[in-house]
Amino acid sequence: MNDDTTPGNPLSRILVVLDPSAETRSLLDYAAELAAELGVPLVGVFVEDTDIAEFAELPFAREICISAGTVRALSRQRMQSYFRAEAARLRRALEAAGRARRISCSFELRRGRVETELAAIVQDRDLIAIAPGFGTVVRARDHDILGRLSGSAAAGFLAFSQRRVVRDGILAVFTGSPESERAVALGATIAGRRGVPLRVVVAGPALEPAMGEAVQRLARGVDRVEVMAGEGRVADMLRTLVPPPQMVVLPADLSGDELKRIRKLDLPLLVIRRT
Amino acid sequence: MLRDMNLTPLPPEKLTVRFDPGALGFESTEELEDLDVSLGQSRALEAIEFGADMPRPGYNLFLLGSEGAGKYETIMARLSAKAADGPAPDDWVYVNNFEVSHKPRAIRLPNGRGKELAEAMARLVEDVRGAVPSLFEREENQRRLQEIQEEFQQKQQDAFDALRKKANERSIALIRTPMGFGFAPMRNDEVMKPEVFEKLPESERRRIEQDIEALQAELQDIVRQIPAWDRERRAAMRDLNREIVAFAVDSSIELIRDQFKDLPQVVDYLAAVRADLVENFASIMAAEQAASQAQAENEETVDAGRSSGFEITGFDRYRVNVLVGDESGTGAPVVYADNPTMPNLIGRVEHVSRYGALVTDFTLIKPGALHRANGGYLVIDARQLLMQPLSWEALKRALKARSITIESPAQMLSLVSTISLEPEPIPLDVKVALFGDRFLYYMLSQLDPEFLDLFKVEADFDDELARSPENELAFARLIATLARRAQMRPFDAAGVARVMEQAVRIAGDATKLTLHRRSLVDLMQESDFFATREGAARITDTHVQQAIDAQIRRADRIREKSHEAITRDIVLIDTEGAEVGQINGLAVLQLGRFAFGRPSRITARVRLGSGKLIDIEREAKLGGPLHSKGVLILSGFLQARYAVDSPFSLAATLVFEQSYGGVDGDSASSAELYALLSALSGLPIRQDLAVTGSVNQRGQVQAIGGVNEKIEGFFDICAARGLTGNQGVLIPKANVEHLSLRGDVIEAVKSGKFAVYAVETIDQGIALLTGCEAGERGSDGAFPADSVNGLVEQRLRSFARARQAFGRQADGEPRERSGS
Repeated sequence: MNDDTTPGNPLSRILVVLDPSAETRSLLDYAAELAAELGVPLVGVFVEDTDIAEFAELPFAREICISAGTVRALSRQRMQSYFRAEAARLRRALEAAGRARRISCSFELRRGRVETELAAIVQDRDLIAIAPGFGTVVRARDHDILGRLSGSAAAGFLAFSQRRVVRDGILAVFTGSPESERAVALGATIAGRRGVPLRVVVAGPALEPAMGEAVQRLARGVDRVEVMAGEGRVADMLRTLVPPPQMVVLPADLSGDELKRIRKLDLPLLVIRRT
Repeated sequence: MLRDMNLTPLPPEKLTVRFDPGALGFESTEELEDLDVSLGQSRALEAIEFGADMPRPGYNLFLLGSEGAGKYETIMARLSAKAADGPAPDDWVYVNNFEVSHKPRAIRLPNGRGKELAEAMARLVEDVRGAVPSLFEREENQRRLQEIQEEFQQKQQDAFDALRKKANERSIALIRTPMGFGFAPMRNDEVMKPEVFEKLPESERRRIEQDIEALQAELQDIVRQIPAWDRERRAAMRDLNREIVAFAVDSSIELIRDQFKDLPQVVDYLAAVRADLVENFASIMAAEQAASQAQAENEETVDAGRSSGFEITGFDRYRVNVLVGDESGTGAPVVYADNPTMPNLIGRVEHVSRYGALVTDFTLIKPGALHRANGGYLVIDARQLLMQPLSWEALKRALKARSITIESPAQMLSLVSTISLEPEPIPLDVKVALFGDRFLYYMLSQLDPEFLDLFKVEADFDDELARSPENELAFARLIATLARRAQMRPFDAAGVARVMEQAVRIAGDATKLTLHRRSLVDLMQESDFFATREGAARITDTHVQQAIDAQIRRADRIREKSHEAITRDIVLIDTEGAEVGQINGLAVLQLGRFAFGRPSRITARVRLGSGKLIDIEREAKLGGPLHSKGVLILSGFLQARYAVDSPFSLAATLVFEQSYGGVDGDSASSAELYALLSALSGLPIRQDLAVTGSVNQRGQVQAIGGVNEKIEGFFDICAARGLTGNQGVLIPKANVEHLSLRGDVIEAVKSGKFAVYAVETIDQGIALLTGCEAGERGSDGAFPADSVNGLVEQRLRSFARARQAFGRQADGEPRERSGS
């Protein structure tokens, strides 16, 4: 754990969960940028999924190619070659991203099931960055990896949007909870680094003076701070913001429905937990 | 014929032209008004006026005259004056052809509006480049794009979800594999291990395998549908992109359309631009970004945004290449093509290097002189034009077709078969004026059947101006005008007189003044130089003379060597005494623009023969045809005069002694005849005289060229050896009016140290040369026995008799002795 982190930064590492998708490559760049802003190291984690390795050993294991619809046989040997090649490629990509931002980075190669392996290495001030739709196994009951990781020790999760739109400022949501205090403080840190304004939405029907003062205290050091009352659902308010924010920092104690709705807005999200 | 022996030398005033400065009527050229510098060229000027105004095709001009006659200055001045009142030419631009990129479109616009269109299009591109991307980034448009993407993804997701659900119901999981998907049996939320599967009952295993096969088939169906869904997605994206681009573009294009609504061609072009922008904006932006990235990485900086074909992939495809765009709007163009290569005439298509290959597009089309002169006049030096490969053919083709088609030389010669840029031909309305020497004009007339169809107007420049009081004053004003235009010092009256005297000398005719502009201007400028060096306020006759002397000095090294060889008796020329069968002829050598005379010894030998005159020069192949003709005329003269009724039994040889180069012209034929008559008569010829003049069969002496140089050449040799007072030159009387001798010759004549004789007949000349009467036939039909002709006839008759005697001897009769 890195204890030299900036005040207002509850994070010590950013863990990027790597897989071969293009979304992950974009996420890696985004996470590296954030790590550089927060002054924390970047850790790339690649898990050789045992489910898929075991699947390849089944006598009738077949692969339907997504590009042509053709069917071909799988083998354990082929899967191993594939995992080795992917691991090497992702390691190079991680190192390149680290060099470009001059940040410390390391690569973790694990073997097992993704959520199990992540749970094994995650620490309480880690931010987990994971691409949407991640996972080598599309499971029957639950394919939402973030949901499955919610029980881990992580300090937060990073979700990334690839939409190319003009964005401005950092938005944090304040509920009065300890995790929302951390969310606002982190949002203030990022806004300060980027030189952009911080907008804080205070969840609840009305803006209480005490909460406003708390926000101002937490956002000290940021040139431009705007405090707004949520007055209803935060997701609805976020939808109307023009331009949309560069990043939304949420406390994990928002209701599950609210979180889901916000995630559907396809915004870069940081979900901060109480650890 | 005693009078012939005492032929009077020409008086000094007949030997040169002198202008009296006091009689000119002015003190300096400052007092004289400007004059049209085309003095004496009324014929040519009328032709120029006619040709320039004649609206019919083919009435182009050819200005013919000697080099330096001022053809270029005259035509440029005349056409510029005419063009100043003419309509300003239209602009021509090339734009992209969005349908066939290798055939750029040409658009005609009123004068000055080509650049206007180019600027408007540049603004459009600037607007679009900035506005459209920000429009795309607007939240609502991003949302619409996102919706399309999500709809597509949702379709896939729904299909996969349904399939996954179906699989889950059978405890089978959908697995993501390196290249796609697979189906695996599950147990306890994990993929079934192979050893567990192997332990299942056969029926269970078969069921699982059958289920998985069925699911795989369904998955294949879904995967096969993905391209169709993707096509739908792309189509929807494209429609949205078009809608967004059209929204951004229409207002900008509408502004330009309003600006050019009076020009249907431009309106059509703008419609094509809009359609292309709407259709291809995304790919254009992508190309621009790729180009920017390449530039940033220093991969390709020169031709970013250019494809390897003729199509420009970036926004440059909307550029307007203003081929002709004269914004001055002041009259028709007058263009001089100073380097009339084929590309410089008809335009060219340039190329740039891209990854080692040469590529081009419509922005690299460059105009030629014909484009710039379209609607006006094009002036070309004919010699330069003909020296450039394919230029003549290209010019004729353009004039015949009345349009300019830009082709490379390789295309014109069909040497390349690859697709090349083919710019749309541009209609041509131009008047071409070629200028060159007469030889070129007559050669083209004779050898090129199309020439007279295309250049119907000849403007023939005169080389001389007849002397008259009016013309002499006009000539003085010409000098004044040229001096002022060239910012020379003014000439005083004596300076003008001296220039005019030299003009007479250059004309080679005492009754003419040269109109050779270059010679005149050169002399004036060089005189100005000497005046400037001296710090004189005006150019005087002294400065002019200095300039003449300097010109001669610079050019006369060969003359000096030649005369030195004579004075050192290396080349044998007698200037005293008398010799039989030997005479001083006179030749002129032209070296560059400098000519000088030189005496040449001609000798003749005679003997009995069969009537053949042997021209040694011709036998040695050193004599030209004119010289041979002159010698044959001598034979005719001798036979007609002396052997009408008797055999012409002469064998004679004639030679130019110590002549090692070619001899041509007939100006020595009188000298050769004198030498022959001397050899036949045995009378010696005076060596202190030199002779020039051609002769006809009747013994009349005819005019020759270079009379001044010839006289001066012999004078120089005599002067070098010391003038005796007996020396002189015989010239044809017809040449007297061509005399314009140097001052030192005139002075020698004045003091009786040198003489110039004008002769009309051979009899006059031979009498002077031998000191013996030529002799006329008496009533008995015979020449006086002691006359030249009498002696010649006697000798020829003795040859005839000797020949007859030889004939009889051959027949057995006694031999008769012949004369020597």
